[in-house]
Amino acid sequence: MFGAPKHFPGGGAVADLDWLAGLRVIEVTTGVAAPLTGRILAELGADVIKVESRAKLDVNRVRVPNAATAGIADEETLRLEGFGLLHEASASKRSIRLDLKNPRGKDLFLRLLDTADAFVQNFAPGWLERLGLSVGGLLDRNPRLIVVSATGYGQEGPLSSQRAYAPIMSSLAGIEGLIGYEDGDVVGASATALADLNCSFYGAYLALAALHGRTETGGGRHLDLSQTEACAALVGEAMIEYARAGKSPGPVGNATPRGDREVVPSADGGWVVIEGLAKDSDEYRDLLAAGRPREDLVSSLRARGIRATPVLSPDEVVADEGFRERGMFQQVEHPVLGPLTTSSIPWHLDGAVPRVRSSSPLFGHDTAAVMAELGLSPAEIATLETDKVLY
Amino acid sequence: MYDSMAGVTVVEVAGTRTARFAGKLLADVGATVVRVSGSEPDPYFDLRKASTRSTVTELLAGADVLVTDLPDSELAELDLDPAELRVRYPRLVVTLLSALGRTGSRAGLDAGEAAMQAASGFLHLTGYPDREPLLVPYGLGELQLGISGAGASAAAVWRARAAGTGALVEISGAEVLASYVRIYGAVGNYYDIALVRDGRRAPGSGGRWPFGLFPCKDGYVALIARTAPEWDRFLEMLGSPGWAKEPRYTDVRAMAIDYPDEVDALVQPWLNARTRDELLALAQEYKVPMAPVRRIDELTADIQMGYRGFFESVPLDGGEADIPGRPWVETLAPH
Repeated sequence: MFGAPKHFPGGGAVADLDWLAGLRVIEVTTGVAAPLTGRILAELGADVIKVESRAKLDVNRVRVPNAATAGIADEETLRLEGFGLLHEASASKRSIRLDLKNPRGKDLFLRLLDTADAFVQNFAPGWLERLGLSVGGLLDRNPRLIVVSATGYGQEGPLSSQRAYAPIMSSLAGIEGLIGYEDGDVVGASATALADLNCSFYGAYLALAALHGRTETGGGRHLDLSQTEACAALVGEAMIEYARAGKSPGPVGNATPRGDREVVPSADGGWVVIEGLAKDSDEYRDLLAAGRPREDLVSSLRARGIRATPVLSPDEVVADEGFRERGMFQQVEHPVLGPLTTSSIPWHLDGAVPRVRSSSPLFGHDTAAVMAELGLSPAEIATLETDKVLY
Repeated sequence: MYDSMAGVTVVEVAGTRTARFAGKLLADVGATVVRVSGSEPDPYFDLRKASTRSTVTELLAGADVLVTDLPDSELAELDLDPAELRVRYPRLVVTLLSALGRTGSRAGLDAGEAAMQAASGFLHLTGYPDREPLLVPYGLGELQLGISGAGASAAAVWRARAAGTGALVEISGAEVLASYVRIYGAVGNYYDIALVRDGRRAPGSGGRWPFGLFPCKDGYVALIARTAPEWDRFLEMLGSPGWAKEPRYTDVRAMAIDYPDEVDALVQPWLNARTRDELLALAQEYKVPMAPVRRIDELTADIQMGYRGFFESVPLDGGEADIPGRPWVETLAPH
C-alpha cells in the first residue's frame, strides 16, 4: 500500500526527501521553537543554513558539559556541540559563522538573503531593527522572501518584551489552567514545553503554506507568529464552552463528560487508560480485581473490545517496538560525540519518514563553502576570518 | 493577506477534532476547504469552510487534498481506499491522520486522544507523583496531529504542483507527541534528571529552581529562572531576603533537585500575599519570567493579544462568542 521504501535494520522506512529541493532557508534562531521549524524544512529537502556567531550563540551552544561527555573533547567544543537538545532541534542543517554586527558581515548576510526563499528568526523583538535589518527592508529588497518570526508574544505590543519560556506562554494562553484533577485545582503540564513544540510545527505549517503564495516576482510575506497565541489557538473549544455556559471551564480530571474514562493502576506498578467501561459493571470489577500486570490488563481489555492503552514512560517509548518499527528514531553519527539517537520528524510521506541528514552541524562547519557559493575567493574568505567577520 | 493557499482545494472528511483542525488551519491560509459532513458546523473548527452533502468521490476530481481521520474500516464503507485513490487521482494528496498509525503492529487498534497521550510518554509526565497520570483536556494530541496534518499537506501540495504527482501523507498522533516528549526530554537526559511527573513542577525543576506553577493570592502564576541574571533579579524582586545568602540556597542544582519543597516554602508567603496582576507588574519591572495562569474567561482581556487583534467574534446561539483567531500577523511584501 505504501510503495517500496527502503527498510533499515531495527527501524522503519526512512527516505531522503527532495520535496523542497531547490529552496533555501536562512535561520537565525535559538532554543527549540524556531530551530525545529528549520529542521522540518531541511528534512523535506530544503537547504537550511543556520547563521551563527560567537557574538550571538544559540542557547543550546552554551551548555556546561555533562558527565557523559567529559573528556571526549576540549571544553569549548563540548559547550558548543555537546547539548542533546541542539541535535534534536538543529539536525540536517548547515552552519555558518557570520557576525551581523560587523558592517561587512551584515552586507554578506543581505547577499545571502538575496539567495533565500525563507528566513526563520526568533531572537527577541527589535534585534533585527537594531542592526538596521528591519523585516520591511528585507521584503523591499527581496519581495519573494518568506519571513517567519517566532516570538513569545509577537513583534510589537505592551508585553512583547516579556521573557518567554514555554510554561509562561501556555499559562497566559489559558492552557495550564485547564489541566488538573477532578477537584478543580490547577496542576498544569509545565514540564512538557508545549508552547515551544506547538510553535515549531505551527511555524513549519505557516512557512510551507506561504510557499504557495509566491509569484515570479513577489508574494513574499512576514509571518509574525506569537507562541502564546499559537497556544491560545488550542483552547477554541473551551472558549465556545464558556460562551455557551457562562462559566469559565476548569480542570475536571481524567473523566470525560460521559464519565467513562479513567487511568487505573496495574499490579506491576504501571498505569493503563481505560475508555468506555462503566465503573459499576461486573466486567470492570473482574478485570481490575484480578491483579493483572499492565500488558496483561491491556490485552484482556482489548480482547473484550474495550479501548485500553498502557501509559508509557519516555524511556519505554524509545525502546518500544511499535515506535521503532515505524522509524521513530534514527541513528546519526556525530564527528565528536559519536552515534546519536535522534527523533524522526514523524511525517510518513509516501511510506517513509524523512531521513535525518546529519546531526546538528559543528559550529560554523559550512562557512567557507557557503561563502564560496556567494562568489568569494579563498583569499577573501581568509581575510574575513582574520578580520573576525566570519566569527 | 492570509490567502497564500488560495486556489488549493481541500476535501475534509472528519470524524474528530483532528481532521477538523487540519482543515481549519488550511482554511486559515486561504485554501478552499469543503467539509463532507451531515453535522452542523462547529463554531470554531469549521470557520471559513464550505459544507456539502455531495459524496467525497464527486469532489475529489477537482481537489488537491483529501484530509481524513476516519479509521480504515470507515473509509472502506465510503468506498475510499487510499491506494486506489492515489491511482485514480495521481495528483491528489491523501492525508491520513490517526492516533497510533496505519502501519505496523498497532495499525487497526481502536484508539483516540487518550491513546496518543498515553503511548507517547506525554501522559507519564503530567500529574502528581503519588496519583494517577493526568490527561490534558480539549484534545491536545488531536490538535497537534491536526497541525502536522496541515503542514505536511501544504508541503505535499507544493511538491505535487512542481512534480505533477500527489502523495500519501500518513501521521500518527502518538508519534507527534512522542517526538515532542523526546525532543524536550533531551534536556532532562543531558542533566541526568529523571523524566517523572512532579505536580506543578517540572521534573527536577528542569535543573534550576524555580520551574513550574505556584499558588498566589488569587490563583496561580508560572515562575521560571533559567539563568543566573534571572535568579539575581528574582531575589531582588523578593527584596533580597537573608536566606538567599546561605550556602544552602546558592546551589541552584541542589535546590532544584534535592530540596525544592523547602525552597518553595521560603518563597510561598511572598507569593500568597500578591495577586496575579500584581505579580505580572513586578515581573515586568524586574524582568523576571513570571506570568499569571489565566482562566478562559480572562483571555480576551489580555492586553498583548488584544493589541494584536488576536480574537475573533462568531455568531453563537443567537448571540456572539469570542474565539481564538490566527496566531500570526501577516504583512505582504510590496508589489
